[in-house]
Amino acid sequence: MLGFLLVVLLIPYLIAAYGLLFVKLRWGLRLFGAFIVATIGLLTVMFLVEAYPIIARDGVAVFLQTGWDPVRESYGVLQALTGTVLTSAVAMALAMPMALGVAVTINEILPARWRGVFGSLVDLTATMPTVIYGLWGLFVLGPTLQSLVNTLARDTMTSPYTLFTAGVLLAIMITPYAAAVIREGYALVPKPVEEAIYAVGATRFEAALIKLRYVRNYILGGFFLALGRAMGETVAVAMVVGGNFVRFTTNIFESGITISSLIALQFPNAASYQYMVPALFAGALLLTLFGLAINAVAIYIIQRGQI
Amino acid sequence: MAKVEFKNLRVSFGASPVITGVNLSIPDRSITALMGPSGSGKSTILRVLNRLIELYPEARVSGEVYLDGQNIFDMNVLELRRKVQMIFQIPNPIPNLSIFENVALGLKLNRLVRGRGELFERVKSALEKAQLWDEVRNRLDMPAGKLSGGQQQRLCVARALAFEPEVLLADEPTANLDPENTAKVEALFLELKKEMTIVLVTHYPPQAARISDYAAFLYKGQIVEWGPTKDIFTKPGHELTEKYVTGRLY
Repeated sequence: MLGFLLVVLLIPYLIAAYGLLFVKLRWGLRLFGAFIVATIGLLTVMFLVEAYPIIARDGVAVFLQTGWDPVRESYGVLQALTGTVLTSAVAMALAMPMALGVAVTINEILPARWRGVFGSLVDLTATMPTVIYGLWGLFVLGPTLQSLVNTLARDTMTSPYTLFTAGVLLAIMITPYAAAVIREGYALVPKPVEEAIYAVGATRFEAALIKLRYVRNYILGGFFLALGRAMGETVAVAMVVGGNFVRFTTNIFESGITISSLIALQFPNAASYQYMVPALFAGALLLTLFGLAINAVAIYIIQRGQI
Repeated sequence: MAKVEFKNLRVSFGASPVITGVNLSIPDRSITALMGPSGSGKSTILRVLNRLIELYPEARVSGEVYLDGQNIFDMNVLELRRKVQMIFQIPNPIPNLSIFENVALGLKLNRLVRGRGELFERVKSALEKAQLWDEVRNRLDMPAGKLSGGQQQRLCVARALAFEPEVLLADEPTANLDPENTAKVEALFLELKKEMTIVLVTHYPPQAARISDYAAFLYKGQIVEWGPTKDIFTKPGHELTEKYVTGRLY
């Protein structure tokens, strides 16, 4: 199946390259664009084909039911989807204010000669391997959060490894992505507009708010880039989320699972069961469709908001 | 008494000096034209007067500038900018804010009005003075970026006038306008000088001759000559000035 897919994917690129070189640049580029769409489509089709056995057996129930019982070959991915939504929500709620703060601090408050250095440092944190974040989350962040939360509200967090831990770790990981996009837009505020803002008597803080309003499309762009990362992140989340793929929970202070970490944690032994591989592909299909839906919303919002 | 007084003003950007010792008095309720070729430092002098120069990290300023006898560098910068408003060479409304918001923004930020009724009246009156009201009264919520160039510039005039400033700085305000809009702006300035001090930067001597009361000729960061406009144009005391006002020096 995989080999077949590779060949199918390769042919269009060869045709596109031929079009690019020998026919017309415009047509070549169009073909490339078409094949990017086709790639996503083929991936979705592949997931659907691989997930077909369990869909044929259970119907849509595989997406709507909870629980993960290999012994009875009963699988549901709803708890994983809930986990993905909850960890992403925690991550975005924390990351967006941080990203805005980072962007404004670097572009507005720091002296000009420090901006490059701090900007590069923040960008650098985005390139660190995620397994390092995971290790740090395992040994530092998780226990710290547990004692912090339990100090504020006794016995709330029974384990250091929960959906909340994963959300906070994700927030730290995705902040540089959102911040980079916002900073890029912020730097594009034209000097005459900046002068206008200060000429009407804005303080630095007020000027920053007005400029952020000016670059709101970049903020949206940063939001969706970061959200995509948060939903897809696998290794670091798998290390700190607690790995509870059995019991459904909406309490962020309990152990849980996300779709991508479910796939990562369950794939090694999935082949021993008849329906687990299809169930995991059902999860992958759900995550893909969810991601596409969010991107569609993003495109709609950005196009509607255009001046 | 002079409304604005420059004493030995020097400005440099990085290593390159732009203003090298300017002394100048600007009389109240009059139009003073700053003329000179490109790069002579005219715009820089304006940006010192409302301290927008501080947005340029590489700029170094020394010397003294007085507004009503008070050193502007000792003043609260927000208070200074309330009193000293500016119109720019390139129309620069904040494009994503509405027409109304562009004029209202400064009033709101500085808490100069109480209540929505007073805010609306101030915005309306500023737009009327700038002769834009009739064209935009039915679309005050439209983003300012959608206006034409001439309308954008009049919107910027309205934004400045909404403050009821004491000093109005105008940095080649008609450089990007057609003759009709230019005439409108010039007529407006002649009206406004009854209420405020206007400092007009221009690189077009006939404009200075038409509407200014006083004129200063700047060349390479220094004032060559200044005085009543009539004298500067009819009996210039310096060869460079004569060359400039007769169009032989650009």
